Amino acid sequence: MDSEAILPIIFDEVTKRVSLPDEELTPKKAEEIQALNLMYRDLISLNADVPPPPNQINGRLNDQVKKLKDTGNVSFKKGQYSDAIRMYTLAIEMGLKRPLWEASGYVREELSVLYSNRAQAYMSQSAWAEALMDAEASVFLKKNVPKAHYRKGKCLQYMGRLREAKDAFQIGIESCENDLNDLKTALSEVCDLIIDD
Amino acid sequence: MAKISVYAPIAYLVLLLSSLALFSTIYRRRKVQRLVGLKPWFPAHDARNIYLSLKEKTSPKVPEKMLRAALLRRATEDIKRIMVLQESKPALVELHQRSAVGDELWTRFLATEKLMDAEVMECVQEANILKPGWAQTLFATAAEIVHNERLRQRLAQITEQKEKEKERWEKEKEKVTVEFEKEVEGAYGTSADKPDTKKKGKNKK
Repeated sequence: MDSEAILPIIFDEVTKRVSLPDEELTPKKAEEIQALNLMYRDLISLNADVPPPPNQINGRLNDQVKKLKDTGNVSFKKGQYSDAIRMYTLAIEMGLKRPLWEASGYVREELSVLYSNRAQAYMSQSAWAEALMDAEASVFLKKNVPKAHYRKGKCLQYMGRLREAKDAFQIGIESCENDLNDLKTALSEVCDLIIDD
Repeated sequence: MAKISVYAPIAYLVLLLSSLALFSTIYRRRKVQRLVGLKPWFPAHDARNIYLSLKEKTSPKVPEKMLRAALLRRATEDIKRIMVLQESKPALVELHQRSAVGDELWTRFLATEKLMDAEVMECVQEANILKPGWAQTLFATAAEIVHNERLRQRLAQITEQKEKEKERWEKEKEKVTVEFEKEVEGAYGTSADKPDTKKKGKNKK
């Protein structure tokens, strides 16, 4: 490993931020400094001296995110898709603002549902590209949810990308255990379409 | 028979032994130099250097929470490096057994592992200085930070892709609509009786 090096680091008492003089700054160091400042900001808002172990969750943030999600769901049911999308977006941003030391498993659960709901809202507006990316995010966060794979496949299908749609449905069937009927139906439907091509 | 000097064999032996001695000292010195000058496995440990620099600062004195944040960042980088070492180890072990990699690489790897252990020990000590008992959770917290960072990185990538996908789909829609309209006009003239396209989907690749 390289030898230790003391850097001419600067701590600004007013802004409470750390920085390095420009001559010292490399892209990597700049990234690290930025990450450090963000971590310090999160630590200040924490009531404790050090972050709790990962299995404790911030209750207040949960409730706020849930409220936004529920509001979004209500708008969706009323057919107000743009409002629903806006609510889901706010919820996602709030979820992403959690301090980095909180249990990543919980963050994945929460966000995968939000992205999946937003995908559905986009699909109701026929915004296939946006819906596809949200479904992609949802699948990445949690692989064993049939709905998310289904939505991803359908978006690809409606955009005419039939082979990708077929792959998406197949991956969905392989990754999930239950409720595979919709996926299987969708798969055979898209296969027929490919044959017709 | 030609006269050979008495000193000839002695001179020969002296020459031989002195050249052997010279060779072995040079070889040993080179070996030590090679070990000392081993190229480090990883690039500079910025997080650690920042932590040490902050710890040293007296004017202005850095707040405790900032030091703790810096130690957390240091532990996070350590976790990333440990993961890299753990992932590379099985492959390196096998390659080394098959003599597909040189001794120097193997020595570097082992040295890096030892240095990594020492670094972790140092972090543990620093953690207990900053807050007694923190050492128990420091690395668990750091591991979670690494997972969360990866999550957010991938999500940021997907969000970036969204714009490109939107553009791609807009172009695709235009192209297909234009082509389809031409097709239909060709087949039906200007008749209003056009076939339903929803079912077929736009099967253009």
